[in-house]
Amino acid sequence: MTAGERRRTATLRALWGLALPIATRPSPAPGDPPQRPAFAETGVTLPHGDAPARRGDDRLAEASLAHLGAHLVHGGERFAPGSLKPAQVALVSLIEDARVEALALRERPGLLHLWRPFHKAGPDDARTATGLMARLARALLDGDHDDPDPFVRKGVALFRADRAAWTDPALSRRIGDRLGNDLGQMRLPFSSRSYTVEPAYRDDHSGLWQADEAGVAPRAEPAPGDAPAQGVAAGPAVEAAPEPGRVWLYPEWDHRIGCARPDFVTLREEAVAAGRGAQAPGDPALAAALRAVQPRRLVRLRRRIDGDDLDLAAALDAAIHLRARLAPDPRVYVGARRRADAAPVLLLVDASQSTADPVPGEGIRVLDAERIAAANLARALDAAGIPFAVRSFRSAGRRDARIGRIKDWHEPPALAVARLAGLRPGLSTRLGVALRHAGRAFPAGEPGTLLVLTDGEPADIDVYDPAYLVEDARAARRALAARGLAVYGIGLTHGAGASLARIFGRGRFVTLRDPGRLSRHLARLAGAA
Amino acid sequence: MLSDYRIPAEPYYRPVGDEVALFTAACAARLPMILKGPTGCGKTRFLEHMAWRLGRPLVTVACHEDMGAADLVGRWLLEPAGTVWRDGPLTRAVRHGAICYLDEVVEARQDTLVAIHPLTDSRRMLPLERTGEVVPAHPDFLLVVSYNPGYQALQKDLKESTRQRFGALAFTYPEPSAEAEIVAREAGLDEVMAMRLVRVGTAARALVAEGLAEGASTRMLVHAGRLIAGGVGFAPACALAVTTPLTDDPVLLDALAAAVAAQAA
Ligand SMILES: Nc1ncnc2c1ncn2[C@@H]1O[C@H](COP(=O)(O)OP(=O)(O)OP(=O)(O)O)[C@@H](O)[C@H]1O
Ligand SMILES: [Mg+2]
Repeated sequence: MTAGERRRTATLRALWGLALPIATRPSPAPGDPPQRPAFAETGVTLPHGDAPARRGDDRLAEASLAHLGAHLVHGGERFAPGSLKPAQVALVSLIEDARVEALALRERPGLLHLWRPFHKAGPDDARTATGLMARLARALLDGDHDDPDPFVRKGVALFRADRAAWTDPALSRRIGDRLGNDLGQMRLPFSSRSYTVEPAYRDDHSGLWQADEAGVAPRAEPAPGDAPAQGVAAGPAVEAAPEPGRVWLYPEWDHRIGCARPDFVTLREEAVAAGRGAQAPGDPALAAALRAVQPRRLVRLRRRIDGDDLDLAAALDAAIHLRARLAPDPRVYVGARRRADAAPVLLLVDASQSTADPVPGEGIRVLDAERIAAANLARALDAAGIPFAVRSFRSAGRRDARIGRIKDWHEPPALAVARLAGLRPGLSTRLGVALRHAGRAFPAGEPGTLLVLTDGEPADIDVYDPAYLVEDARAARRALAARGLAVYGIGLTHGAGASLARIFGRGRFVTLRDPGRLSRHLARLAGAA
Repeated sequence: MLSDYRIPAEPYYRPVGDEVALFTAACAARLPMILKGPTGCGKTRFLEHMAWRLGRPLVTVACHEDMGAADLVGRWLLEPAGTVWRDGPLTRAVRHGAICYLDEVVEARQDTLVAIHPLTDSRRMLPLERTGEVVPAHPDFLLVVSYNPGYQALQKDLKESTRQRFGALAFTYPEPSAEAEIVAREAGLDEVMAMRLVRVGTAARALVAEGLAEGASTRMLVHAGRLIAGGVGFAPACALAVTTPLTDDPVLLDALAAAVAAQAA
């Protein structure tokens, strides 16, 4: 998501508390008919082109979002077109626009300043059906605007007659019917085919009417999250057999019997070849966030001006000074302070087949999101002077768990980025054994941090109980925590929160969809630590 | 003894539910209490009000990471004649019968907090390890702690053995009309203007789902209200007291600006 798209989403949320997908369409080419926004129960569509970076350049979209939200919050059921004539359909819609805007202005009076500048029709405009409609729309919104036309005046009078009725959508239907009739009697022709709603921030009315029969062109069906997934799984995931060599045997926790099965999982390490990948955008705030999640050690500080206990040696010195009538050194306490150290960090990256799926709602594969996050982390760790290593993990049943050595502690950081780019998704996710093996990479008895990047759901070909691997991973995580390692989960998904919470514990995981915002999430994880 | 800690006049508190009655009952049962809720939603004000209502002194300790047990129970001081013991705030409250309020208790280290365990079960006493004295709790002593569950931070959680000694009241932002009443009263504004501030607050709270760390507090709205009462315009007052302090994210600042503009008449 670009910053502009995020701003539009956040604006809809801030103005209306609505969380709907916003689909973006390019603005029409010169000469093509103008496009209007649309809304439906499932989402909204803005045909104003890519979202500009600056809010000030995106007023039309902001006005549209304010208007669409008014429909979604204050609108009623879709109208049934029945036997209405096209002009009546257009006028019912126009009154409905005015009705939801009037209700919106009751609680959000400032929206008037947002909408008003787009209304330009006035008495100088031609007295055509569409011209009168645009003028009526303006007069209904803006009480200070006076339009002498009898048709416009009548519409305004009907609408303002009973403000208490504004909350009822049937009002739009009643007034629209009558005004549509008047327009017919004035013999002003109206064609729904050539009609474009004015002004430009307003929707095309397709969201107001029941399907098809409507005389309104039903276009621009909003398709939530319709950004196509870029770079879907690059070819079949070919699996070379793991290299021969050293194998490790690990226990696995079976929650059904409440104990560990000894030597149950066979694990090998595999090399990962470097690949070429796109440059990650970078996340400048990450180094600070990382420092915040670093474990803190309690250190005793002697000869302090304040603290929990008297520092015996210092207190004795001071007492001697006092007896000798000399000025004592006031620093007679020991204090305890927490200090963050540069404890080593290991990144454990999920490389299973499921990471070839797109992050829900985003045009990016989980693995690529992991890559970006891991590459940014690597860069930030390097900048912060924190030693780090990177491992990937996947599995094909309990006899074939694999850990990829992406970067060892001593290897240069650039290698991590290159080898991450070489990672191909394949096989399954046996997280518990990966955690146990990753834990070995830390020097015994020393603090350290293990960051796990995953799509969230452990699974393997020989496991059918969905809770089994979750519980095993939880057991593995707890064992690591007990030996002083901080373990955090970073889920590049939405929805797997329950498993992640179970595995990593409350407050020890984050889920995100946009890897560029990892620093923000890590900072949350760290809280005010 | 603790006369400095008595609350002379009634602090304004607008109840949002049955918290006054519940707290009074918990206090009569000598049940230590947790007040949880987001920052600036009225926890401290509530407790000040209750202390006044119950006629007890209120001793407040703002907890922080470097706070040690000595900061709560007391410490030896070195004086010309030798060492003298000085009670900490907790010990003073225990001895003389006050409400002791540990604000943001999760900020304190676990090893500091174990000091409160013997006070919060049937023993109701405070052993002073450093002097060997055991201070029995005065009948009027009450322990109240607060924290903000929104942080959800790692080490920042109460230990189960601590948590399960307490009763708890959950605070949230008051519903809009009540919050408008509070803002109007605290800032000296009319309720229409106060309601517009409350709507800005509601918008900010909705943005938590878009990555805002925490929604605007009632406290922030009161601050903005005071600026407006002092003649500052609506939009600049909201920017100064609400949106600018709330976040550095330009995207969220833009969305907040849109919400403020929607309220600016
Ligand atoms: N129910 C209420 N009645 C009266 N005033 C309130 C109420 N709720 C909030 N306030 C106002 O909000 C301000 C902040 O509330 P308070 O200081 O009690 O917050 P808090 O929940 O203790 O925050 P923190 O967790 O940051 O300490 C108060 O000074 C008061 O002006
Ligand atoms: Mg409309």
